[in-house]
Amino acid sequence: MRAFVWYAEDSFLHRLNPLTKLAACLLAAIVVSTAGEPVTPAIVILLALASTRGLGKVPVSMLCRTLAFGLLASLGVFWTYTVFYGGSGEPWLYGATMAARLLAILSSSAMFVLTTDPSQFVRSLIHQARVSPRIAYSLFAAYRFVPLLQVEFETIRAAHQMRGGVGGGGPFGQIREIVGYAIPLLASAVRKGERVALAMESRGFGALSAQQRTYFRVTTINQADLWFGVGCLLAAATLIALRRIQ
Amino acid sequence: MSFSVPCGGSLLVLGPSGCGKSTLGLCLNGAIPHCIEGDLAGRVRIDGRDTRAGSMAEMAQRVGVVFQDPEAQFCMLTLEEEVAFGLENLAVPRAEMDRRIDEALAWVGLKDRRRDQIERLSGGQKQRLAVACVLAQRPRVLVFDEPTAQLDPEGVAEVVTLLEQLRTQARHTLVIVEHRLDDVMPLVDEVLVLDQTGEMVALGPPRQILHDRGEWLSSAGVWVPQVSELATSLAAAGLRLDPFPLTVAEAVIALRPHIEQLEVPPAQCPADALAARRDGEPFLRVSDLSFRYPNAARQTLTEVSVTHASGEFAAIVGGNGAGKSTLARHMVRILRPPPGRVHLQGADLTDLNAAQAARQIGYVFQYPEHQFVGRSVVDDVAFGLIRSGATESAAHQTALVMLEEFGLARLARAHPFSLSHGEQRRLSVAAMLALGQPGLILDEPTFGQDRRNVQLVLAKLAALARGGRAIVAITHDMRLVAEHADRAVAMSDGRIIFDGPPLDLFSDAAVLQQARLRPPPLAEVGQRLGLTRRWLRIGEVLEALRPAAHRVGRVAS
Repeated sequence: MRAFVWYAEDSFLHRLNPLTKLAACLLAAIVVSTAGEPVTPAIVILLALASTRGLGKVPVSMLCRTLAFGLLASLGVFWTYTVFYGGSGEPWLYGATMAARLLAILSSSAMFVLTTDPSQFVRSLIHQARVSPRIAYSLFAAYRFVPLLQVEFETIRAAHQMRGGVGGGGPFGQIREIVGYAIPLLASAVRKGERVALAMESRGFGALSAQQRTYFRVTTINQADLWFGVGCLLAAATLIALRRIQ
Repeated sequence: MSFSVPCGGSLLVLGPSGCGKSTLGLCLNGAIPHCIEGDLAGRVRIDGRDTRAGSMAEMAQRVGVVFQDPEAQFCMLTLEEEVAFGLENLAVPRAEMDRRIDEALAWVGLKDRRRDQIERLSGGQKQRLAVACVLAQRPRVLVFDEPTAQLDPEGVAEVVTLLEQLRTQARHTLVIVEHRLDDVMPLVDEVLVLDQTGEMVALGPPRQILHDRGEWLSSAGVWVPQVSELATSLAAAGLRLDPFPLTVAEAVIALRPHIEQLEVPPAQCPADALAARRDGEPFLRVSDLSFRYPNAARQTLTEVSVTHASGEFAAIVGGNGAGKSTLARHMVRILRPPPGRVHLQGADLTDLNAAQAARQIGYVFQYPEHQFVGRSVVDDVAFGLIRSGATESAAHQTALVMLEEFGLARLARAHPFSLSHGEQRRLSVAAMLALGQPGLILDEPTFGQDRRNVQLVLAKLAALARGGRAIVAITHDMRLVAEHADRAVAMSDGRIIFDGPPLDLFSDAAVLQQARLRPPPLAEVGQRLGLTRRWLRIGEVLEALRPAAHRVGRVAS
């Protein structure tokens, strides 16, 4: 299991600057969270999915797998609001709005995550967002450990089960169990972190200033980013304008 | 300490665990004092330049370090990005990076994997990538900090080949910190020996050091090449080998004059002894077990059938990904087998709950820390006892007895995480055995430990087997298999391809190749000498050569 499931491909979306896509996600979030009906978020969902498929060349099966959990969550939201909503207006309509909002935000995030090479994202943070390389690369090194820690967590859980389970019964038992996993997991994360940091510094990381440092690959904002940005803004403006007319 | 290494020379640093070998390595590249604080007295000069005077960027162009953990020395996703990372740190112009990346990856044989993800590489390949990363920075000195300690035999061979190439090229000065020496001895000019307190004990050519200090090294817990250990034992018995061997090839030359004494008469045929023990229901029986992980392309286990008897010390061997751990995890219910496939003392494992299974069979994980549950050493051992109904004081009583047996009594109040690696390993075995389970499975029980600790643990396991327990070790350590196991089970691609006495395993070239195994040095010597019966233990050779030793002794007197 990878934490960020990035789908490697060479497409229009893949070639965009990650920050452009991130901005598009934010824009989508603003549009749907100000909408009081389910139609706007539904259009955003369609747009996000269609562009991920069409402009990002991500197969439908991959999209479905990524969004399966989100779809379940939104159904849960829909059901909860429909049953328990106590405000004015139709409960099911309110539920549908909330569910569509959630799914719209998840769909646009999926567009970003699926089409963005994480190391490309780090580069855009350094080159366009002016984050210090020291911080950006350190975060990235930590991110690499997520799948490793997942495996480690499974092993620790199995190991503790072999010892007969740590917590004992009841809700407190469960808490004790989690704490029991946390200590070895933290110990190993700290040790691995120290090792990586030492390896990075031994290769001269952080010895030169950010200005002196050179870069193997540089991300830029180019024409495609402009077109995509303008397109997104137009779509957002249209959606908001349509809302006003209604 | 004071020492110097000439340009293009190579130095091996030896010493027991915790003697400061790795710390010395970090002093050489300036990580001490630049990245790690402490009191540093004296000077380290690389190429005349004081490590304190140069920045880390400057030092990185003089000294490159390859660390031991293949999982924890990279920070990027693909191979080319990783090599580029080091070049970016040194402000190498972008135009030059491409060429340097190609050069470095080609040198370690990974050029065609340039755009691959690092996580797809095997352990050995990762270590090769680590070498490429430092080579791209063009240092004069390369420091290897136990580069093979966490690798399987195949990975070790990859790294040793690379070291050989570096040695032949002689463009770099090499400093190698290692504790398994069977392969690296021919690569070094000089050996530096540290003792437990970090003091320099000896410095000299390898043959002289191993000849003069062999016994001291072994008793201090340092692994010496098995053939050198043999020569030291023979010398003690009165037979001096000439030349004093460091490698298998030299041992063959040195032993050839004594060849007529070398055949060992077959003592008791081990197969018969095994058959006798296998009568009746075995302790553990796996029948026709197949397994595929969800979403996996191929089966991890295919129709595996195997039994383990009480009183037997068995070893499961095979390359990485052969299915050894997956099989073992089915034996202890971490992975649930389908009904009727795994039986513990005649009972179907699926009919037992976790607690019942845990009372029958224990599992010691590769990294001891994963299974510590107590806040102190004694609590950790007492934990399982209290869980199964003992009173607190009775449990502590029993725990203290266990700790005494495993040489941990003086650490009873310490936190398990504060122990040394070897002590942790002993604690994990003691804690698992406190319940007195009749069966025990161990994942890599000798991994990354010094000689003294390995001997302690293995002697304990052998005693447990003799006492009637079923012991199963999953291992890459062929010396363990040769010296301690009653039986070896070799796996390849999810199938069992060999099941029998270790002696037969190490005589079967086809099986060894298929299971990606290499016999221990002693067995290899026997094979090259053309002996019909291979050796497994140093004691056997001593036995065979005793008459020769006596004769030589008489002539000398």
